[in-house]
Amino acid sequence: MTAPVGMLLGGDFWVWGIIWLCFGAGWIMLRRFGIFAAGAALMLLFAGSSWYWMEHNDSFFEGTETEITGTVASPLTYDGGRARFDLRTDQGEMVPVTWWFDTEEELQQSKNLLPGEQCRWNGEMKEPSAAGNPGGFSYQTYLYWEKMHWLFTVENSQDVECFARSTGAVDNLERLRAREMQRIERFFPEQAGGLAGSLLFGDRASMTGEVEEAYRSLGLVHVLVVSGMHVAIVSGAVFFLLKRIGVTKERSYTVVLCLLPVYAVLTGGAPSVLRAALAAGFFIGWQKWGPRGRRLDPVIILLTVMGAMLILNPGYLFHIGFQLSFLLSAHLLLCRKRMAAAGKWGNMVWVAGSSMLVSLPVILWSFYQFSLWNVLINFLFAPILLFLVLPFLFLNYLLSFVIASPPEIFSLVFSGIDWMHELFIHLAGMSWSTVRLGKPGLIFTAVYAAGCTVFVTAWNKNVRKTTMYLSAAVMLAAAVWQWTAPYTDGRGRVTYLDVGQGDSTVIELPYRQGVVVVDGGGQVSFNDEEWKEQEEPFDPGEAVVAEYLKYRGIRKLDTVVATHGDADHVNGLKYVVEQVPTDELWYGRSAQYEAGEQELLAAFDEHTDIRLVEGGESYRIGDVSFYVLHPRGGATRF
Amino acid sequence: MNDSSLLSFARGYCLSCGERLQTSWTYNNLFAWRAAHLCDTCTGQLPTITGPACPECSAPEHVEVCADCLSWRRRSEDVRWVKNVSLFHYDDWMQAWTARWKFRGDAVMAAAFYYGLRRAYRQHFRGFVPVPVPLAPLRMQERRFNQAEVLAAGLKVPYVLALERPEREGGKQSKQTKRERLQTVRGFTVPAPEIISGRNVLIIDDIYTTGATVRESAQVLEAAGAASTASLTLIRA
Repeated sequence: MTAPVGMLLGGDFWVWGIIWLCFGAGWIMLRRFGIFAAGAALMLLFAGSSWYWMEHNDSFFEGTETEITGTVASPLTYDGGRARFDLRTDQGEMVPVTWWFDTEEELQQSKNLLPGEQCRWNGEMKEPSAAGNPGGFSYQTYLYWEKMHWLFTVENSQDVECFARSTGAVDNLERLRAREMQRIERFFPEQAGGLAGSLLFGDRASMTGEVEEAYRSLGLVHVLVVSGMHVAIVSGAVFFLLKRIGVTKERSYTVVLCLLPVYAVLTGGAPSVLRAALAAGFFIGWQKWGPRGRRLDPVIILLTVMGAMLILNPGYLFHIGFQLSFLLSAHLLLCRKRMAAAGKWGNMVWVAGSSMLVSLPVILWSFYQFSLWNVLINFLFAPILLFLVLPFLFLNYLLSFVIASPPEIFSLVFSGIDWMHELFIHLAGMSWSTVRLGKPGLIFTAVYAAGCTVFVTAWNKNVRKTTMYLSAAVMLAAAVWQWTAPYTDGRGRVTYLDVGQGDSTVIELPYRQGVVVVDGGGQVSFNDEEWKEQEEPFDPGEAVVAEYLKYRGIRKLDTVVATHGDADHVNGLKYVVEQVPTDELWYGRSAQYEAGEQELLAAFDEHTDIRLVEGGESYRIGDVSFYVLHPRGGATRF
Repeated sequence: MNDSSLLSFARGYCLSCGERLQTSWTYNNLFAWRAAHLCDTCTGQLPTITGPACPECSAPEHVEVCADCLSWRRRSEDVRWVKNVSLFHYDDWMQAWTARWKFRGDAVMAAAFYYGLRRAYRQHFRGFVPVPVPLAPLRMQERRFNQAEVLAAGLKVPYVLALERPEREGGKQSKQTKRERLQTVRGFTVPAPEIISGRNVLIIDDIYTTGATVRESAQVLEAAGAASTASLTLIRA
């Protein structure tokens, strides 16, 4: 039955993912009333809806347009001399727009452009880049699942003409959201502001990239996401207030039901917010209109919400936030009884430990590595962030309506937040604490997933310790296998990475006797005016080379070769050498170096040993000899 | 004994209290293929034997072999006796349950314990031949089902009606004292000893009180050539 459906859909791999998912959901939900019929029906429903969705996921544009008209659909986010936002055309197609500014005044002026404005821009259409490298990120695929197909770039900042303002409810809410985000930016100090933007309005772009990356690699990023916790707190507060002023329970249900979608839009509408709001809505609706006395199990609510979201947008299946959000909510619901029995402290350890274990297969599949700090950091900081920092930020947000800047006494807390972020960056930067396994592949992922499911189930049942130990042993064995696999593989591998200008070469010797990276690409930085400087300019060393090393599970580099000192060849290597332990860096020997080269070598010298090489020399790494061809003594360099 | 058609009427409702089943999903039942028969409340009230129990008869709160079993050792001739395993204590809840199941004929209620019995069988008695303790003909006529046979059928392993029982002389056992029970001779016979000869036999009964019934059955079965005998009973009183 599944085969024809699969073939109908072009045998795409992801279709099978959906099918298995539905089958699992069907099995769990409906096993009591005719498992197979229900499972198959659900499967067909999903396959049909995703087929329909893909059939209608087309663009109205041809790519040659030089003018675009539409409504600003998201708040503008700034980086250096440019802003980004989503534009909704009259046909309803979303287009991400990048808008470059010529002068700082124009940039400041653009801040008046709030969601809901209907404008016309001149610029050009670009196709989003596909994954150029193995294991690399494909912006094109990512946008496809978001129903976006083109990027629009506005080079000349004056090419805009606004003529109307939309009065749609969602646009009005987005406008409110944009205003509040600006208020937060003005009111808070930088670090706390980023945190407040994320926690209160789901605006992750306001965090500095370094901090966000630290949260991500420590496995703490779920705290930055507006989710069930927030929805519970907000609707709880509304209930409490309504009860206080004497509104009936039935009425308050209606009020909260109406507020949930408002809250979801105000906080950015990420999958986790939608999940929480829909689940809460479902629950309240059931209380209000459902049959009396029939309790609805939260797991069933969660599965129903997941099914509904996937039918409306199958692209969610590939959204890491969606995956982790549903996985972890389901996990915590499934072990809520066991947690209740574990006591307060045991409970916290349980939440941190088992959540990490359950999310591990997904994390490894998407990020190729995990941090050993994960459990400890979650145990210590997740409660602090949720129960202390979040209320504190919310209090300050409320204060921002009354006063112009936070009270002086809070500066200590703000520096506490700075200090905490410093700590996160420091911990995330310790390369030994990151277990880098590389892309696990289907079989390993299946073993990890099955292993941790069996483990957690056995842990819950609290009987049959052998099952627990056995599944732990299987998982550990799989991890050890994955870790050592490159050392038993007799094939070498040379990969040329597309880093924009020039290329970067990663040479893996047979049996992983050594790994050599030659050049790393790099962005040439022009000395721009300060307001134009980007906070996080694109660095191919970070986005391509380091990412590929993660993907391959390369934990250590024997040699990094910098062929010559041009920025577009070696700038990217700075990040690589900083992040991956490197034995030595080879650079051409010369009697004297230019100032730029000296600076570069000093930067490398902080993280690795520099070996100056000359034509005619040869070096052995494992069984392989590397010959240096250039520079010959006294010859001119490139 | 086929109760699957009967069960289909009860599906979705607790076999004990008749409430609609509203099982909470947890890891404990996520991967269990079987449907639940008891609601969470009733499951919580089950007097399951958990802690230490007599290794020979499952009498609760014993670490070593209990005095009862020691006296059986001295007295009886069933030398190839292995042990008795029971799932539950006998408390008020269980007593009410038994009364409804056995005396008021709600036979299908046994389905709630099939899974537990199967698990105990697999854990302790793999390869044993189940032999339910028979009812006396008159009692069988009165009750229309043999509770021991219902339990044996629940094991989903072919069972053998190896024992036969003549008409009873005294009254119901449940109305007798311990001394009377121990003195009663039930007069079990094994009409076709070749079926069980040389095999490990597992006697199935609903309740183990003094052990008299089970021990007498064991003795008779051993005399008929059973390699060893043991018993699996729902309740240890």
